[in-house]
Amino acid sequence: MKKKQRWSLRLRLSLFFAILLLMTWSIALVWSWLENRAYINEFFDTQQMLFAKRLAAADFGSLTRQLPDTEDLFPKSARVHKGEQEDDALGFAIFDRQGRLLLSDDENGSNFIFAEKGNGFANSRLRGEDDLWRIVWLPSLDGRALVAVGQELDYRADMVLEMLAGQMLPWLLLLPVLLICLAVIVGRELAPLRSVAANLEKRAPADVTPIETEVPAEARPLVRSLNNLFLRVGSLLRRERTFISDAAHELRTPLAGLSIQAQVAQIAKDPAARAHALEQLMAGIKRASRLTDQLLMLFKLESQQDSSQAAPPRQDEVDWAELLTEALAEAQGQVEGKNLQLREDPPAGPAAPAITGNRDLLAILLRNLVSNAVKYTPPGGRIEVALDQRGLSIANSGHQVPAELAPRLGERFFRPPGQREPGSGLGLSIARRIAQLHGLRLVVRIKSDWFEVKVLF
Amino acid sequence: MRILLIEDDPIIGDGLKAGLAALGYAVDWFADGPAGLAAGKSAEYDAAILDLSLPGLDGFDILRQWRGAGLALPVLVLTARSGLEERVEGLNLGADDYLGKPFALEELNARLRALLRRSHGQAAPVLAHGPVSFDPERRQARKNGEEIALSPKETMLLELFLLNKNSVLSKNRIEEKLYPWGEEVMSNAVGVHVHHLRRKLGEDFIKTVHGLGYALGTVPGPTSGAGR
Repeated sequence: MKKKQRWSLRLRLSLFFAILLLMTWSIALVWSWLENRAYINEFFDTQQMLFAKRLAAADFGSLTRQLPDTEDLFPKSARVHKGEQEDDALGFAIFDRQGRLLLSDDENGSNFIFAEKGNGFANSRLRGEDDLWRIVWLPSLDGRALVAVGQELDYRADMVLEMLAGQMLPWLLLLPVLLICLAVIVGRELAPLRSVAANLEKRAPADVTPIETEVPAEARPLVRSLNNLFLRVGSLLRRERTFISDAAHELRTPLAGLSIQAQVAQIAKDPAARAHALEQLMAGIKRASRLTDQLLMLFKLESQQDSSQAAPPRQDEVDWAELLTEALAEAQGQVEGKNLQLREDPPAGPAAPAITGNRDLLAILLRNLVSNAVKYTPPGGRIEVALDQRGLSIANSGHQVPAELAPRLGERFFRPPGQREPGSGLGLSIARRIAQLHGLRLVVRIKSDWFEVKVLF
Repeated sequence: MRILLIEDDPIIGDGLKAGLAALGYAVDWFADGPAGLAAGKSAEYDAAILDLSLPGLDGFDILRQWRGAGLALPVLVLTARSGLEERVEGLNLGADDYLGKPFALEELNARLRALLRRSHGQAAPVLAHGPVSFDPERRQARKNGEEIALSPKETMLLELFLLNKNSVLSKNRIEEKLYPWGEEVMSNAVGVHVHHLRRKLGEDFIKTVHGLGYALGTVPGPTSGAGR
């Protein structure tokens, strides 16, 4: 895939360049042809006119009716340095006023068709031929004769083309060289990109070292973005690694419990002791499954992007009051069992705004906070819940958390010392992460006997 | 053998207590640091099993304080933190052995036995006194090579005497070693167990030191040994 794209850029550049070159050359060619033709016409017209004027100045009284063929007129010796000539392209004729041919070159000139009013240049055909000739008509000085000097137009056109070919051929021959050079240069300029691609291709999936290759300015944003991506992937990988190692570590304790109870059940001789061990084993399994559930939940939450980057996956209109009522109803049994006093403060001011987010996650957030409060309040203690425009607060009395540990609550697996209640140290982390995903802030405050968790809207 | 177990996890603690009791140890279990620290200082234990992550007080802190107070109790550290650094730190702080979670009860037992052997300055795994020998690992007593059936408490008592060959053991000390906290002790329990041991191993095996307690009897002769 990468290889194909890499080649196509080079190929396309070369192709575009070749097409552009051919187009500009075509225009240049047409232009050049027009210029050359005008030049050739001017040049030959001048020559013809000069020749005609010479003839017109001659004394026609002494003319024989026809000159011998010019080919035989001069001795061979005079024709050694004859140059490159094509003399059958030129011809002349002299007519009297009545149109009788007085004199001609006995070749083409004799076929000139007499034009009585002829004066100056005119294009016409010769007798018995299809080719167009350019003929200049000029009356002689004595007025008795009409001089005509003509040249075949094809000859001129051929000459123009020959001139053009002479100019253009070197360019045409150099075109492949040009294209090859272009391909090589483009290839060389793209080499850093190829090296980046090769680097990416052989890179190990977990390798997040930035790309150091020097690349052209145009490709620098791409490499910079890639390096930024590596940075983010790296931090994600680190987070996941820490998470996995933490999780494995945390699973050891429940596993040790299961293992020890299973062994006790195995060696117990007393049926009551064995029954007790099996009961403990079951409790341990329940605890381990709960821990794995919470780990999975947290892992899923951790791998989601922050709210600043992407919205939580589902967008429901969620009413805080409704969620809170549900969470409290769920904890009702325990509240009564522990004989806790639950007080809901009436909202001070306008009601809490609805939030757009994932309803299930927000329900878990509230459930975790409420169940924490219920769990860590000693029997007969108090729980106070307040919901208003600014936030939701759940506070409980009789906690045993030293105030200086408040900032560490919500760290994964962190449990303040002195906890008698079973727990994984993940509940608040999950709540905090859910809050984060919804762009909310979770604050823990400890004031003497009161432990308060606030969700700030 | 009285073992101090400091472990905050209810399931592990409960299992260890039950498992070690089944293996013939008297176990006191504390689930939080400060209580465990105090217990280690106040009662006479043969060894301690110490979890590192404890509520209230870290296992390392307990170890540091014990060693600082000159307590030579053999300590086996039990932890989910099995990193090299932690192991080294634990051993440097005076832990005698290290066991990572999860672990097999058998291994814990073997390591505990090794610790106890070392702390009693005894290299051979089998204890012997005159015609009586005792294998602490198998909890098996023999007299003249013949197996003698003993109750768990009698076994513990025999082991206690064999590990303290040259000292007189007071009734209180014996009670402390045989019974963990919370277990009911009848007023003459020690006397009853000693009586049973004498009946099974010979009247001279344990002598009464009046006003002080009990001690091992003198061995009949240098030529008479275990398994003859």
